[in-house]
Amino acid sequence: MKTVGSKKGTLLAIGLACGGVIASLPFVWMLLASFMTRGETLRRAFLPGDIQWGNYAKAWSEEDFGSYFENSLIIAALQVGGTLLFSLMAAYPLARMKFRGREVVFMIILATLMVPETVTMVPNFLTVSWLHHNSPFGWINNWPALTIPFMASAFTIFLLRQFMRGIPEELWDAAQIDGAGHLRFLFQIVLPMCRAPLLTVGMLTFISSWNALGWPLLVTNTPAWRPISVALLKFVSEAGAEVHLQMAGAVIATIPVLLLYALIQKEFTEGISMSGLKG
Amino acid sequence: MSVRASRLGCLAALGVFLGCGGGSAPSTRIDVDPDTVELHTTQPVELTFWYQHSRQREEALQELIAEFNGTNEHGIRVQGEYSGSYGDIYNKMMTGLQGGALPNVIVAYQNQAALYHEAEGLVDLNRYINSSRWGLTPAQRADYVASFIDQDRTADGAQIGLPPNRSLEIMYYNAEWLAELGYDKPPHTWAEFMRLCYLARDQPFSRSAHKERSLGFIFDWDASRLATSVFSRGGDLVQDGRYHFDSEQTRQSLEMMQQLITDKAAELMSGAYADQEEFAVGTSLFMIRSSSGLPFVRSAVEDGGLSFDWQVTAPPHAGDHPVLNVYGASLSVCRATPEQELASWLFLKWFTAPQQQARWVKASNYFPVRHSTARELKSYFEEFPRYKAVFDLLQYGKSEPNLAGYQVVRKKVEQAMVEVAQGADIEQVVRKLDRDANATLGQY
Repeated sequence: MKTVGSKKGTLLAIGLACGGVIASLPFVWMLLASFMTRGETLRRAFLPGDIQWGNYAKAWSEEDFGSYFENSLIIAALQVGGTLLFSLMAAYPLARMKFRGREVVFMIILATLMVPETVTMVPNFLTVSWLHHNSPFGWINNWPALTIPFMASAFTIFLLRQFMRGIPEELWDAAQIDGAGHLRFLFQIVLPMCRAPLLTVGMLTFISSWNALGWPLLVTNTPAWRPISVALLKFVSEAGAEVHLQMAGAVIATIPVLLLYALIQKEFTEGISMSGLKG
Repeated sequence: MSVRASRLGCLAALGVFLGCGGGSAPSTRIDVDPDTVELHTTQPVELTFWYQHSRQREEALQELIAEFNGTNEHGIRVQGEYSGSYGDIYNKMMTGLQGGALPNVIVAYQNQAALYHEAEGLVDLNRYINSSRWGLTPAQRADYVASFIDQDRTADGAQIGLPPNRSLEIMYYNAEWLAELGYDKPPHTWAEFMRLCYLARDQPFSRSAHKERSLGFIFDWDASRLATSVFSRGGDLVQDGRYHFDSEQTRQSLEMMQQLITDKAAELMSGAYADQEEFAVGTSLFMIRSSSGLPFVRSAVEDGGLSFDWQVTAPPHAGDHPVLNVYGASLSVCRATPEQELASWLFLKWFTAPQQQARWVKASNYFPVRHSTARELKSYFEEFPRYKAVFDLLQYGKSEPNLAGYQVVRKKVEQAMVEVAQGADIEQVVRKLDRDANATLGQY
């Protein structure tokens, strides 16, 4: 029995290792291509000859990466902060408060997950455009258009609700005895317990914001608020791409995501597993 | 807090949020005689110009814009903005048309502009071209290549764009490899082209580092490539205002593609710019692409490490003289205030003037649209003989349809090309394409 078990374990490990290698190949290729000359990328070489460190300096300086990078960081920070706040506030009543129509509201929120982003793009743009003309501050070419429409996410509300439903009722009873209302219970009891799912939501929102391209291109016309994804796009011209520079830029753009994941890896995995979701 | 009080609070907050009104309302349509419009330097007109150029071309364009901003006597300020690829700009524009957020000047292909025009988003430039105060003199008008100007004219006579440049779809070939195959001239006919593709498959380029892979050609599933092939065989994509894909020329084009791919003498493109990459490293004998890619091909061949002798010519053809697909995005003016529309026109007029044209052509490698510009390019022709060789072919240019629905039809053509490359029955594909394309007429 033990032999059979260990054989199974070995096979599983080999399978997972193969999966890992396959999954990391694009990343490895990106990394290697970022050190190549243009000729090597054209010849589809697998390894760079002489390491071209200069690609990074060139990518950074030629497309003013620093400013795009800064924009991306601010946009992502605002979006993560907003999403955490609004999702928490929305998930709590759906998980812990009893009111008429609660399930219907939740179903409606869930139903929005079925609508593809491309379908909502035009209505979102019309809304943002109307707000641009009718609110005290500009939306187009500004951070509000890039962040506010994405601060309420059905998926993150769902994820947090799933977690909050697991919080024992006794805690709420005890809080009530101590005179706490829902708001105090949410921020003093529930919030500290939600660290893992909140970090998960934060991470997912950060990645989504960091990778966004279509929407930022739609609502910005100047580099003032454009994210790093637009800078990467500029390495592809009408008649050809400068793959080596684009990949160097892509590596730079990936660093914050990797750093963030490295910092919260444990909580991220925990958050996903506690919510009952599978990959 | 009572329910009533909290509701009032919410309404008040909403009022503060929405009611203060900081932005300007979208402009409304006013068709005024341009001659009556005044531009005052004390009230400078600001314009937004969306374009697709990046890197070196953008730098050159920004320099020209800065010069216009600094020298125009009306105080017009143009803000040039990179807005992604042609497709991204199209998406932005289509969304902007619904949301009322349009630029003033936009880069658009004729079929895209036709669609914007249908949505009443563009200005008919005839009013400005013919204006006695701001327009073009008869000599200036005659200086524009008439066929280029005509590309931007709709069936009802509206001038919905002004061409700043044009390109031709040309054939690039590896002259060194061709010589190894026993030919000193590029193929004149498509039959010859096919024969050479088979020869290239069997006899790789001697200096290629990938001799196990040798191809005559790489087909890009692009509507413009099909148009090139159809035009060169004496056909057209439109006849009497209807799409004409059900033609002998379309069949021949698709049959050639299917045959060469089946016989492994050619391949379907595996990714963006794959044909250029394979050509640069000597694994593909021919390439058909825009003439504006000349400098990119030059640097790709140099960077590819082989630096072989490559040349350009017209794609093979059926008749006595070649017929080449001539294309290029034009500049259109979006609806705005009379002052902005006039200022946009003045920018277009300045940008397409011979001096600016010559500078733009040298920086971008596009072709000029004015006869007099060519006279200013003598030294450039001497410096870049390949550019001159292609420039001389401009007289044989023929353009793709400028029907409003052509953007959608292009996707159908591309789908058809992929199906044929994968072995689909050509007769069925051609008939379906013709039917589907014509079904789009009147929908846009």
